[in-house]
Amino acid sequence: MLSKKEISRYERHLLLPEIGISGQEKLKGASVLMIGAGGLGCPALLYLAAAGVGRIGIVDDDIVEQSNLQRQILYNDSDIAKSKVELTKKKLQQQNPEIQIDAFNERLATSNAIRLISNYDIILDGTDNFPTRYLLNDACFLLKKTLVSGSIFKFEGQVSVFDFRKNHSPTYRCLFPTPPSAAQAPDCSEIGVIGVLPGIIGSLMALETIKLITNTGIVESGRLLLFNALSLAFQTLEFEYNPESLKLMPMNIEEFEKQDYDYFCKANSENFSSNEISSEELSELLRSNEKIQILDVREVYEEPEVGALKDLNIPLWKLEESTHKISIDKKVVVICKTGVRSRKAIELLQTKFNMNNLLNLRGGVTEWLRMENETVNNGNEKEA
Amino acid sequence: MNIQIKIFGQLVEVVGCADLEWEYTQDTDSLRKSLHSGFPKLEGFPYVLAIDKKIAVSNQKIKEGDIIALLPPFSGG
Repeated sequence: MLSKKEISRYERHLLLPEIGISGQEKLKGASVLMIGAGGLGCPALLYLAAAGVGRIGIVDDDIVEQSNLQRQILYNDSDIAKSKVELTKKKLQQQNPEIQIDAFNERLATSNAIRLISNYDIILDGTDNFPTRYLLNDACFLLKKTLVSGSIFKFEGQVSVFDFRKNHSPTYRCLFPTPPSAAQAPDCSEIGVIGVLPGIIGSLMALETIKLITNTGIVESGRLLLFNALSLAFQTLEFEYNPESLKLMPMNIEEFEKQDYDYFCKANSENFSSNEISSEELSELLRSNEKIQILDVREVYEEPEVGALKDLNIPLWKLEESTHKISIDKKVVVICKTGVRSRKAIELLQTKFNMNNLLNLRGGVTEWLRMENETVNNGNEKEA
Repeated sequence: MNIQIKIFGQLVEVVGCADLEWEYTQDTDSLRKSLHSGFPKLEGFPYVLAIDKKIAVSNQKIKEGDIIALLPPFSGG
């Protein structure tokens, strides 16, 4: 039942025969979980809250960074370094006090996915990496949840709905059986993205969610919407359920919780690990007596600065004119934010300058800091 | 006879353009082969191929006038 206040709040929905009172009541009774409170999450969440979805959960363990503000429209300057889910909860609650918001300051993983997803009807994928996208597909498939997926690349976007309530509904794996490597699919922090693009794709995700809840129109199930911002063109491709692509999928929750999605995405890319080093291996190397050089190919002004890795800094675009500074008689570990630019740097130095003493830090500074944090946390636990 | 190929996402950088005119091949396997010899970097890139707006799973026949699309998944959010 809608209250008097709700009837006036949602008047424009109630006037639409496709939604009306019964549709609005369905929205009120619905629950939606948004994975990722970033570029796609911000607009999707704002519209879902405004539309009166009764219970909205948000999963993200990130904090707001200055470079998010260009497209993540829920945040402003004073929010920097604060938890995204806490801010989002506060702001959505201000936007619509009639609904319930649950904030989960967690990173989605095989260990928490089942617990988080079980309590919601529809799950929205606004994550920024392939391992989590495959993980989410598999978890929603096993729990028979509907997954609304959106993704972006520079000036292009993709939207699709995977309706796992129905048997033999096409999955993300039917569409994309094999994930590209990180080098083949760099993320926004490496290659840029036009700020309004996630606004469009995130809004489409909210639209599909509202259509699913109110049972209105035709949702993008078994279809992939492609959007190109430069030519302002929308296109739809159809795809089918393919039992072949399910062979790599965990068949029950126990199997799911044992999956290593990072490994799955890496193992599928050739030549990727040949000259790589993990944060743990680098940490060991630094503790040993071996002399090494660390080459940071990020921009000079780029944060965060990592004391333990401070050595030689040459931005990628300046590399060719500064090769004389790079050691040729010891191991050189090349680093950047996520390991993509450093891979490009190695390719360049190998092919043009015949250097064969280079190692790429897998996952870059981001992964290094994650490891440092874990070490500190583990240390604290042991002390306590 | 040539076919029209629409290229999406990261593949535009690999191929060098978004619209490609390419020599006709009778099915998707032979098209992939011929594209990989023209653009070696495409090989090993897990892209999806669509014929006339339908994603082709296994090897499929290509008809005259079909429009082909090559697309990769995006991970950005």
